[in-house]
Amino acid sequence: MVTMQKTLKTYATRVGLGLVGAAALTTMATPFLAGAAPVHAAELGSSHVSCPAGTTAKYDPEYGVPASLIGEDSKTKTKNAGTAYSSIQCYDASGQLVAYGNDAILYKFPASSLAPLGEKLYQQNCASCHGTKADGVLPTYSAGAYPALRGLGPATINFWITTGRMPAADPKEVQAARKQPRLNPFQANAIAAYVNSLEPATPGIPSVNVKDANLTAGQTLYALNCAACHTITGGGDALAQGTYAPSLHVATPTQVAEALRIGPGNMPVFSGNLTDDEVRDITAYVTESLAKPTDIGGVGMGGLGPVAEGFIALALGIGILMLVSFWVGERQ
Amino acid sequence: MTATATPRTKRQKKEAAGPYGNVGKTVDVLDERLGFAKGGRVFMDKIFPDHWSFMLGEIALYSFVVLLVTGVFLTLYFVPSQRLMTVPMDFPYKPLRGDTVSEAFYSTINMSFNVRCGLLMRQMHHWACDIFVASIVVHMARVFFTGAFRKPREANWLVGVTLLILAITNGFLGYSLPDDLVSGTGIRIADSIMLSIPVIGSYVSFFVFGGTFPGDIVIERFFIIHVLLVPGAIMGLVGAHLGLLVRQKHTQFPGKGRTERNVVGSPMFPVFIFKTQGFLFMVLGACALLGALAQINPVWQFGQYYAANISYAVQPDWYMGFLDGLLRVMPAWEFNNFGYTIPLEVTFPAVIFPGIVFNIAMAWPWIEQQFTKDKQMHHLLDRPRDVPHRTAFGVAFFALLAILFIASSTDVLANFFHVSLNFVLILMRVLCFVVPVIAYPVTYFICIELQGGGSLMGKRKRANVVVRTEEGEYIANPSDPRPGDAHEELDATPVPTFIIDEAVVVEAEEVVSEGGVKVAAR
Repeated sequence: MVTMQKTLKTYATRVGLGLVGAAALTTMATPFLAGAAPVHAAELGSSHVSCPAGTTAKYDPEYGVPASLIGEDSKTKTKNAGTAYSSIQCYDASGQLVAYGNDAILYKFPASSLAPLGEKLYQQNCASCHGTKADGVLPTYSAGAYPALRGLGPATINFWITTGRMPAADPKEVQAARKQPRLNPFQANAIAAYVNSLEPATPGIPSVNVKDANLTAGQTLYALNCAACHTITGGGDALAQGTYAPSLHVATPTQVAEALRIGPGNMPVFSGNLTDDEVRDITAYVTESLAKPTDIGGVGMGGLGPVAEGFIALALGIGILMLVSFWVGERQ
Repeated sequence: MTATATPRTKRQKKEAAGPYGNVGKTVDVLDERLGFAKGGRVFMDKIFPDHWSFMLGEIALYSFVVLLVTGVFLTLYFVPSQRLMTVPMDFPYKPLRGDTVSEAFYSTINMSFNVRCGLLMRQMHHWACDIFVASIVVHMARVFFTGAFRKPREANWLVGVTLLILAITNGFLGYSLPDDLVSGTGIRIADSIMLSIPVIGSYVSFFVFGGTFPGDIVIERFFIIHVLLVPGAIMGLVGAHLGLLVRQKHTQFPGKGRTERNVVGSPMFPVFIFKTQGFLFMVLGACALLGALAQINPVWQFGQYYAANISYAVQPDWYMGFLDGLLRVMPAWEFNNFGYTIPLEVTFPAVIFPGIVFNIAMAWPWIEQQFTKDKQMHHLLDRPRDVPHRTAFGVAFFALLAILFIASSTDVLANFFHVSLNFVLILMRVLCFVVPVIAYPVTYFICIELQGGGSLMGKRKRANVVVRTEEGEYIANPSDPRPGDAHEELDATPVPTFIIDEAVVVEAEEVVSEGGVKVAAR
C-alpha cells in the first residue's frame, strides 16, 4: 500500500513535470501535489520533532500563520513545503515564530539576540558588495549587480556562508565555488539573524530528520528532479557558459535541504512541488547513498561512467594486452 | 622396435609405446580407423609468422570466448522482460527496496547482489566487450597500415569490417538490456536516430518498439538479437575469417628468407599452439582482473529507467563515442519544408556519417587500387612508412574519429578542466576539421623522413667513439655493434627429430630448414 501510494505520487509528479516543463515547475506542479497525503496536526502525537526549549508548540490543523510571515509564500499554499504553512509552529514568549516544520524537517529562525553581532560581521564581510543595508547594489553603481539579501530568509544566508561560497573569492566569477568556509556556523547564524531582523522571511534554517527517511523514494525523486544536472551519481557536471552543477558528495543534510528550498544560482527553487517529506528523502539519498556509493564491483572511478570505463578499457585493457603480445611475439 | 616381445620393464613398456607414448598410441588407434594423420600433420606443420602485431586479432578471438562463456552465465539469471515488479524489502541495496522496477532491471541487480559470482561475470562480460571491440579496431589498424588487405585478401577485409559493425551493434544491444536509467537513455537516442531516417524513419521506429517509444517489448527483442542472432552471425563470420586466413596463408613482413612465395614462422605444433594458448589465458586473466577490480556500469546506482527521467553526463560505451561526439558537435540544422521535417542535426551525425565511415572502410581495398593501379598479389607486408599516402590517410581518419570520440565527453572535460562547456564544444567543432588536415601532412613527412633510416630499425644505437688525432683532428668511429645486433649468418639448427621423422619427410617435402627457421612453401 505504501509502495502504491508512493508510486502514484511519483507518477503524479512525473505527469506534472512532463506537462509543464522546468520553467513553470514551482507554481504549476502545485495542483498535482496539493492533496497528496497531507500530514495533519492530529496525527502528530508521536512526533519525533520538538520545538526548541522555552517555546510553545502549536499544532494547527489550519496551518494558520501570522500575516506578517506570509509575504511571498502566499503564492504557494502547499502545506509542509518549507513555508510557515506547516503542521508544527513554535512561538516564543513574545509570540514570535521561532521555528516551524513537521516530522521531516524543522525550520529554525536564528535567535534575534544574535542580530547585533550579526550586523558587525555583515558590515565586515558582506556589505562591500551587498550594501550596508543588505538591499543590494544596483548595476549602475558597479561592474556587476549584487543581489539584495533582505527578505531571502535565513536558509539562503546560511547556505551561501556555510558552503564557503560567500564571501566570494572573486565577486566577478561566473559562479561562486564551494570552498573552505571563512565564517563558522555560529557566525553564519548571526548574520542570518541580522538580515532576517531587517525583513523577516522564510525559509528558516532546516534541520533534517534523515533517520526516518525513505531512501527508495529519495532515489526515485533524485532521478526525476536532480540527476538532469547533478548526474545520477551526484558528481556534478558542467552547464552552459562556465556555470556548473556542483558535486553533491560533500554537502551536509542541512545544505541539501537549503539548496532545494532556496534554489541557489542556476538551480530552480523546489518549494511548490516537493513536500518536506520528499526533501528529507532526497537529502538522505544524497548524503547517504550518493556521498558513500555502494561500489561493490571494485574501484568506483568517481562515478564518471563510460568515460572512465572507456579510458580503462583502452589504456589498461587493450594496452596491456598489446604489451603482452609484444612480449610473446617476435619484434622483427 | 620389436612389438612382438612382451614388454617387461618400465623402460621396455615405454619403448613399446613408441615415441609419443600412450598419446601416440591413441592417435594411432584413431588414425587407423579415421585416417586423420595426414590432415593432422598438415595442421601441426602449419606455419604462423611470429611478429607480435599478428597476435592482436587473437585478442579479439579470445575476448569473444570470454564474452560467450560469461554471456551464457548471464542468460541463466537475466529476465528479458519490461513487466513491472516490486523489489523485495530485504534486498541488500537499501535505496531500491520496495521500488517498482522492471523484471529486466531487477534480474540485473539481483545477479549483481545475490548471485554468487554474478557481478564478477557481469563485469567481466562488459570489460571483455570493451576489449573485444578495441582489439578489433587495433587489429584492423594493423591490417590497414601494413597493407594486408591487398589482393588476394580483400574478401577477408570485408568480413573483418562486417565483424566490427556487428560487434559495435551487439555491444549497444547488450548495454541496453539492464533497463537502467543510462541504458534507457541510450535506447531513447537510438529511437531518435531511427526517427531521423528520411521517409521510413517513423515506420522503422514503430517496427522496432512495437508502437511508440518505449513500449513494452523492446528489451525482449534486443535480448534475442543480442544473445542469438548477432553472436551467431559473429561466430559464422569468425569461422570464415579464420578459414580464409588458413586458405590464403598469413602475410609476413619482408625480412631474411621471406619472399612472396613462402611463409616463415613457427609451426603450429609444438610452438604456436602453446604460444597462442598462453595468450588465451593472458586475455582471460586481463578480463578477470578488470572484472574483479574495476567497477563497470553499476546499474543499481542509476536506478530503473523511466521515460521522464534523464541524467547528465551519460555517455555510451567507448566504441559508440564517435557517434555521440558528432551528435554533440553538430549544429542544430533542421529544415521544415512542404510539411516535412528534415532533422539534419540527427540524420547527418547518426545515419549519414557512420554510413560514410563504414562504406569507406569496406571499399578501401578498391579505393586504393584506383590510386595505385596495383593488381598484383601481395603476401609481403608494407612498412607503414613506405606507403606514406595510405599511412597519412589512415592517421587523419583515425584522428577525426578520435576527436569525435573525445567530443562525446564535452561536459566531463569542461567540468574537469573548469572551462566553459560552450568553449569546449566550439573547440571540438574546430578540431574536427583542423586535426585531420594537420595530421595528414605531418604523418606524410614523418614517413618520408623515416624512410631514410630504415636499415637501422630494430637495432640498438651504436656508440660513437670520438678520437682526437695527433694533428688535433676529431674522428668519430662507430663502436662495434652490440651482441646480437650485427649481421650474422645463422647456423642451420636441425629441426627436432620428433617433428620430422623419416616417415613424414617424404610426405612434407616442402618443409626445409633454412637459417634456423622453418619455411613452408605457399
